[in-house]
Amino acid sequence: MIEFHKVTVRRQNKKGIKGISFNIKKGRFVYLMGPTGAGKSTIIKSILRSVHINEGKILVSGNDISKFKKNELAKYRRDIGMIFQDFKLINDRSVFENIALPLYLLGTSKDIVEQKVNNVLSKVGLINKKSVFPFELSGGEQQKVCVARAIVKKPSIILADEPTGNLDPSASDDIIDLLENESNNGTTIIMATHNYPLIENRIKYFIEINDGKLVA
Amino acid sequence: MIEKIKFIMNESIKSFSRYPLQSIISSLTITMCLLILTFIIYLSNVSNNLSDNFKSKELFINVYIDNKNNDFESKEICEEIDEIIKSDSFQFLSKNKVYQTMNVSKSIDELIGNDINFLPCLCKYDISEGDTDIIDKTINSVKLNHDSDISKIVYPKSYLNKFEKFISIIYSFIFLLGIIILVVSIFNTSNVIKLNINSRKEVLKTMILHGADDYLIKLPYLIEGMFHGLIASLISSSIILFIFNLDMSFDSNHFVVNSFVSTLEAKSYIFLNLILGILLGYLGSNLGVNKNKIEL
Repeated sequence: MIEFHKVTVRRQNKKGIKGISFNIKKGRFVYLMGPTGAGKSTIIKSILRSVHINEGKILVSGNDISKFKKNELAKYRRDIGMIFQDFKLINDRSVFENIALPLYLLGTSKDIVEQKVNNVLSKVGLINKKSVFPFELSGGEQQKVCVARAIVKKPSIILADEPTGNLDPSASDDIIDLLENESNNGTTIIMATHNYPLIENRIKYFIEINDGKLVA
Repeated sequence: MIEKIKFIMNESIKSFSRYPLQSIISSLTITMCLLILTFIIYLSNVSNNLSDNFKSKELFINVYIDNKNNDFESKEICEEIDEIIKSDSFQFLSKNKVYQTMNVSKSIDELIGNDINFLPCLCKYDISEGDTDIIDKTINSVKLNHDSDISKIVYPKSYLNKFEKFISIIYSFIFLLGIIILVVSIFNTSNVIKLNINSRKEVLKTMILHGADDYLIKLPYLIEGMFHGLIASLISSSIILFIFNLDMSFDSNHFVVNSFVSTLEAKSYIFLNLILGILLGYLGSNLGVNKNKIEL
């Protein structure tokens, strides 16, 4: 599903990744582990192709994404669900509108959007808050909206960049439960975290990196 | 595709409620530009009126008939000359009428008594031809045919030349001013829209990361810019209608004063405002979007 072949990404302050290679099979829930600044976010951003890949190649479903043109990249990203540590919710749009955004970008009709968003809101337990704005929610609820926005279009891959970084342990568990549920339905999930105690009882597959290099 | 078009239209319209301050600033900027451009169009209309009114009211050829001819003979000569000049209309002034227009003092009047035969009759021709070369040729032709019967021919050649030059300078100035204001207006509008886009950079980044196509990012802004232009043209049209309905009648027959009354109707200004408003909104937002490319 996702193959890294000697991938190097140079970023500011000598951060980034250096000649990393690994494979992730379809439907797996893989944790990216390592200390802050190790290069976890760079790997996530490389898969999303929001950073320039300096060397090597990344194959996703057999396609070299480093060679994608603008329109191919947009199409590729529409099949990825992204969860950010800082949520990146749009504050002047309601919870419903935030979750519906990826569906509108896919050209989904209004009736189906309504049905899918309501389903996913029920799944994350926020059906009663669909009309409120993100700034009216707690951190845990905002991250649930972010997860809902990522899973609503049923993507092949979900990338989660420190999704529990700003949450308390209980809210963090809820988020990981939701992601595990998606993984059980066949979605490939890559989650970056430096909080080992949170995941130690759940972990099946992991990639450990330090100073931009693969450790395990 | 229909759903995407709906999304684009929805995004454009909803931005008014999401970003009311930016929308108001953008619309008012375009309104100011439209009002200035309307004033330029009005100035152009005034200079056109000045040129037309000058030609219709002030262009004439005065032919003084030699005083050896009496009133009857002079009138016949006047009619013959008119066949050469082909004037719009002509006026014949007998010796007596010429004398009356002179406003001579009482002492001279007593001295002259009834003997006004020394005066020439006057033929006054109104012409619409403004080309001095053509008028010169006509006058030469008149002289060639009636030289012995004519005392003097007067027409304001230098006056006309100076006026034509003046009008031509005004036209060039207004044209240049119009172009400068149009360019400044486009940049002004684009800068306001650029700031507008800048304040929504995070929203755009989020959309790009979710796989929004380029046109889904750009088109809502272009349509939004055109909406701003439409609103601006409605505001400026209301102001123009208000000005048109003000009672500003002039009690003067002088052509210069009358030239300041616009011959273009209010609906023409409103139509131009609508077109220019939408165009300014489109060009401004297009420039703003292209200047503010977000790549991820």
